[in-house]
Amino acid sequence: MSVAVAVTVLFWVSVATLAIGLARRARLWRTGREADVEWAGLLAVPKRYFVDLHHVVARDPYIANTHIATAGGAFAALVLVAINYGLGLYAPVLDWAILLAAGVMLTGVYFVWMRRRHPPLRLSGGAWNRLPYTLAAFALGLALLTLVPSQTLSAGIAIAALALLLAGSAELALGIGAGGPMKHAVAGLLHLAFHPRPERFAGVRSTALSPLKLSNHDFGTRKPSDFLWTELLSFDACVECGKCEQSCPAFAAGQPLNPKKLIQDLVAGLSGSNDSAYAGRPYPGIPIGSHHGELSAAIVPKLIEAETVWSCTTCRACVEECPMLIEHVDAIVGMRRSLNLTQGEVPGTAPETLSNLRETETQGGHARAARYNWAVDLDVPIIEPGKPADLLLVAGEGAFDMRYQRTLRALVKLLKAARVDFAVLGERERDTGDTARRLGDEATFQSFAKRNIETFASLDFKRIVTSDPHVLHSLRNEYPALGGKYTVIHHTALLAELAEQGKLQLGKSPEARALTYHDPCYLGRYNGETEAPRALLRKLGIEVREMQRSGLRGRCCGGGGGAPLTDIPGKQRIPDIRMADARDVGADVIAVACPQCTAMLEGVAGAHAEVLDIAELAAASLEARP
Amino acid sequence: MSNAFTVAALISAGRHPVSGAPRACRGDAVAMALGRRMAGDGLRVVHAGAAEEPSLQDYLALGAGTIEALPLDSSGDAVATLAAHLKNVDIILTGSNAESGAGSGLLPYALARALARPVAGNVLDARVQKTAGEGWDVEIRQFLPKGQRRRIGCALPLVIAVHPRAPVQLKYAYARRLSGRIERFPETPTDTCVAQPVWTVETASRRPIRLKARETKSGHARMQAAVVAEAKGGIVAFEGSTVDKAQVMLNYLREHRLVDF
Ligand code: SF4
Ligand code: SF4
Repeated sequence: MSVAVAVTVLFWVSVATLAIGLARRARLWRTGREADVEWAGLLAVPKRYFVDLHHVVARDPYIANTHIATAGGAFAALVLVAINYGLGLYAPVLDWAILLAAGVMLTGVYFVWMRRRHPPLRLSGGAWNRLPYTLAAFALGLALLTLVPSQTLSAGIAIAALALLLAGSAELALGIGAGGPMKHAVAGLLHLAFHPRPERFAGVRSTALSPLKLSNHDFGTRKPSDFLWTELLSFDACVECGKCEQSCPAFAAGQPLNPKKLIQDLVAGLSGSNDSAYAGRPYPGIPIGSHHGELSAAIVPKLIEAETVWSCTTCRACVEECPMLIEHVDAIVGMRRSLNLTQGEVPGTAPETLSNLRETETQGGHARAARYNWAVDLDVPIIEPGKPADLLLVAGEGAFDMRYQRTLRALVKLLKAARVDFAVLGERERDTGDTARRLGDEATFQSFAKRNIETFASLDFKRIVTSDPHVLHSLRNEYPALGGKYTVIHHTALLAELAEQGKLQLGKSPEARALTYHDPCYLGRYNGETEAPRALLRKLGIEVREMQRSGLRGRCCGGGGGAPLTDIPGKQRIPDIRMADARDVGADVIAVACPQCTAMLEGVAGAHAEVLDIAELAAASLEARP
Repeated sequence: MSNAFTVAALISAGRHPVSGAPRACRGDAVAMALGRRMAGDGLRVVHAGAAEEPSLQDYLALGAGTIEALPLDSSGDAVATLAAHLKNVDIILTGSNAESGAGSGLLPYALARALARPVAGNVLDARVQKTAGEGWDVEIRQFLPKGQRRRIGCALPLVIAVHPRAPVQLKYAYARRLSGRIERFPETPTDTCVAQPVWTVETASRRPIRLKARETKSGHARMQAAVVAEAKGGIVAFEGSTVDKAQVMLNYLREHRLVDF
């Protein structure tokens, strides 16, 4: 039998092995719940791969180029082998093309190998470490076969080349079906086709959680098979690059959460194995090897500990960084929902906050009538049915916080200076249910949304303005799914707009100290609004010293997702880390735009940069007007 | 879990002190959680009043399972209805006082009297254990001020009024609210008329004002009294009949002008 025929046989055996393996893997994915999928997504894969995925990968040019060479070379080589050997053409020209592709691939693999010699801590080892060798074997085998003319091919070289090819094909064909590292290629491409949030590929910052159908007794994710099948598929796409781990504030603070490990645990749950094959950094404080998952067994605590699930601030930094576009926060909130709704298992002071919400419609157990106490001397109009206003100001829960009331008073002062027609909700205002939702209490969230939508329907206003990005996010992005559609604007955007239109005459800020701006996650990452606050600061004549992590990639203050309530202990506090970021750029003032950030950063112990809301800075400039 | 003894927890319509919203009365929810720990699934949860009472939904979410709702007759006498319904139950748990209605905290005492059994108040924990014979008794940990606790043993049957700070965790789960049931009982004719309270009902002021003797001690003495149990001064009336003891109390109140008769 000639070598060429042997390659043909090997090719078809590999294809068959891959098909069987994939079918088995697909059967696991399909144990998940039915999802609405667009089959047209398959056609969109090239665009989604080259544009959306590469947009993330390109942040690390080294690995982007490496991957283009390796994957591009491998893909080209495989297609060419399929044509030339699979179909039995055995054309010498195609052999040259295969050689070229194998050469490109080999170059890429060399750089993979280089990185893996001194890998960053975020990368997983284990099976991933053998990848440069198996891939190199594949490329070398192809190169040998095509380089040496078959007439001069000695038996020894032919066997060596075939052996190399066999090793490489095993990684690709066997490995994918058996859940090896190369499964990321197939799962990744399918994930791009059937992504649970396809809007992301249309340039929408899709960040709203999807509502549970409580009446169908849908109470979240208790076991791996409660995920959508497209979500199970997405977990298999993970390349264990650790970009998520590197950006996770809870991980940095030493809390028992590591988004990469979380996704790998869910893969272990999917394939019914334990976590001992995982070769990355653990959840801080939780050793590897003692957890085990089953497709239809409860995830918490056998596979993932409850503290892990409750450490997340829902900041979405992991999602922002993930090159495979995996949705960690959806997975985490899904598990929280099950714990909360079916067992009432919520740690820390969160149960108290949730019962306050149910019983008083405020988080702190306050009287609703007290929400606008801070405005008692400001003569702020209160909206009423039949009394229209252009803007409805929703103060949010920060209204009960004495520190934050200063910000709200500054905002009112600015709105008055700009002669805006606005009114507040007064006693009609209740919490939006945002915190309840992040804590998995979907029932409370939905009942709040329903009541708030009724309240808003009885009132006459054009836009809602709020200084709380969490209020903004729930009203703007999450209420629409429940029937409430409003134009919601953040106070920084409104002030920037008013200043732009000349309605608000800002002076030059008297603030002479070095200032940095902290992006709230729910304004930046959740809503893509990073420019208006900076524009406003520029208008005030303030130059922003950007922290290393800012804008869409800003670091969380630790205040989101109910994390200050569940209060899972770590080695450090997240706001301390953020304050250190500000110190690193020599900032004496840290400008904020959110009540949670204000409270978290103000709570940092010891001497620290002064925390001032942009509204306070802007209001102070009014006095400085000529 | 099947028990050789029976346990029931009584729950009342709670109201949030600030908003007035219907909710599970905290003290009763705590009593129910303690009962769950004692009797597991065998716990009976009983509400004297309308099955439509909205706060019952909260108890379901807190794990009541099935609530037995006993409608009250026109007299509104919960004690008689409960006594008739629970005469065969060994351990009856109640909160220390209700958040709505009279809220006097008298119910456990009145119920114990109607059923002619002892009552233990301010209970933090209770465990049922087998006695040397074939019976059961209860070991109770009781709340006393200033961090002190007392352990008492008591034979069955009895009524236990649970202290609101009993160490139990309340877990509110929406799914249980949907799966729980409220079982309506027919009105039971009550013949035993137990002490009808003679009072008029009015809206409660925020909180009962505690009568307090004006302090004349030095700061240091007050500090001592606060941290050292022995140094609190006063008289401990161990001796004499109940009337004598009452006289000691009355003298104290008169001395400090807390009563004027
Ligand atoms: S989840 Fe995404 S970011 Fe995290 S390790 Fe996997 S691929 Fe990388
Ligand atoms: S959302 Fe933020 S805190 Fe949660 S896992 Fe992702 S990076 Fe970590």
